[in-house]
Amino acid sequence: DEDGFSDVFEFEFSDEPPLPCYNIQVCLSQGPRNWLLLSDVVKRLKMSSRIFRCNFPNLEVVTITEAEFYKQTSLSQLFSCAMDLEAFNPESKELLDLVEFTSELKTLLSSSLHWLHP
Amino acid sequence: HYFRYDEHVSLCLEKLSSSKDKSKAMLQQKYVRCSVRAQIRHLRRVLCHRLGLPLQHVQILFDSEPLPDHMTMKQLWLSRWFGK
Repeated sequence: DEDGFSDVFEFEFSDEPPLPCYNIQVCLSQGPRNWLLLSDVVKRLKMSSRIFRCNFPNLEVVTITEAEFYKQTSLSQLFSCAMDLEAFNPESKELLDLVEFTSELKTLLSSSLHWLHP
Repeated sequence: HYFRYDEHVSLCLEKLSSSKDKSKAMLQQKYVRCSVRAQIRHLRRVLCHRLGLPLQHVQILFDSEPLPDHMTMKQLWLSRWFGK
């Protein structure tokens, strides 16, 4: 990987409970990656989506249907708790914006990062 | 397969209170998130580094029981928090 940090464990420390992170495959040419809901991020940063996208154009934002989001998330054993997914409608054609959960975004959300070679 | 694309789990770490430990280092940021493939021993190493303590001074407990060094976060999650 270009930044050399892919084969180390990244530990993210924060004061506040971390925003939920979703492991989702958004296109067939790439494997699953980690994403946050853009709506969660802008709420935490007290910022509008438009301003967020203008200020951080390098953070990738993709759109998927709520139904596809639900389908992939509900397959994870980590989301075995019904409460985690009750806000989402498995049938909905509404679109959700996801922002890729990069180290840059973690720092932006005031987390501190610690890398460890396994 | 790189760790950064793994699923991640979030933990909230609470220091087990003990009166003789009052002067000891406190963790500033108690929420931690990492790959499901990280092991307890990795977390211990990171915590030691952050707290400036030698490895043998940091133990990770669940319900007052020490967790084995080679347990992964996924095993921990599935065995203790599944469905919660």
